[in-house]
Amino acid sequence: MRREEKKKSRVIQHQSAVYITPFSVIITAAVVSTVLLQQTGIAEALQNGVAAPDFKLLDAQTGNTVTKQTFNGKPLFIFFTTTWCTPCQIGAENLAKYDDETGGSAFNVLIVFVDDKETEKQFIDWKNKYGQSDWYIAKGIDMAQTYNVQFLDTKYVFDGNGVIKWIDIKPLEYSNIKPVLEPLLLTQ
Amino acid sequence: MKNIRIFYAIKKRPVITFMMIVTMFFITPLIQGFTTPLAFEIWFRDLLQKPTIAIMYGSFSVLFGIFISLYLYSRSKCLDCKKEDTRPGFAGSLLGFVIGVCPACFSFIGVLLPLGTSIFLTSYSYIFTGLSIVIILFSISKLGGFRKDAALLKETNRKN
Repeated sequence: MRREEKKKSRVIQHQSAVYITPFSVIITAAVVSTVLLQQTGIAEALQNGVAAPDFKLLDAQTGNTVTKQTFNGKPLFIFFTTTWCTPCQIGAENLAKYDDETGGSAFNVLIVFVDDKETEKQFIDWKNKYGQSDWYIAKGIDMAQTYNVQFLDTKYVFDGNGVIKWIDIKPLEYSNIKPVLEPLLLTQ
Repeated sequence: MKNIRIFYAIKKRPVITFMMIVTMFFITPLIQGFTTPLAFEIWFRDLLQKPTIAIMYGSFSVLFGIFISLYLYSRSKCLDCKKEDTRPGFAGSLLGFVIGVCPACFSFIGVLLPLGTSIFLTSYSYIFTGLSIVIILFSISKLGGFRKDAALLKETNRKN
């Protein structure tokens, strides 16, 4: 009787292992790679404390040329995104909320769109929906290459002198914005 | 209709089928949840903004649940089913899960690939999700999921 029960439980264990194993392997691999490779991605990007490379873009709304020097004197938050990037939309909403709370002009925001197929109208619609009226918006595929952007939702923060102070690729939580920008706003 | 193997497999293991459907549907935010608390917000917004892909991914998840229950049924009850017939199904599942709804949206594959490739995959993700649906359907068919079950028929005839 006991032997039969043991046999049965072995068969059940074997069956469970057969379908659980491949999925647990896939899921574990996915989790580990997601966490580790994101760190690698940051490591391969430009470093904190280094002067940011120059760039030249065309603002999609005003048509004005925008360079690194345009933002001298105030911290700059750069967001590499596309109009359809969902985590970026949430991040932009959180940034807009913080922008409001700090008076609306304490720091500059530059949104750099990296999908070649998207149009200026889409950028302006995106800005109206998720951003603030004084944010700069531009297509910047070359700039993304210069800044080693490997993922959508890559963000850079410069101080008023154009030195890189923060690089991040995770979805932007509201609670993460203040610790990054507040020290830069205080030293202005 | 009752004798069709796929229905019998679901009837035999309804909980596993349901659990597998739910797991596959939420696997992306569950994994993302390790790195961001915004995972589920991102997931639901993604689904709302891309309804076609959302419906396709929902269908893919349902087929995945059915495929797993049929796979388990085939292993234990089906005499004329071949183990290797499940391989395309698992490959299709992996493709559907990895390409998912938005490969460039902070997903597993987005981390592994360069930006341009992730954007390309997202633009055509409906094709890849469609492909994974076809592969799973093919695997279900190879497992005899759409056939009448001979063993079941015998059982029914004996009862009659």
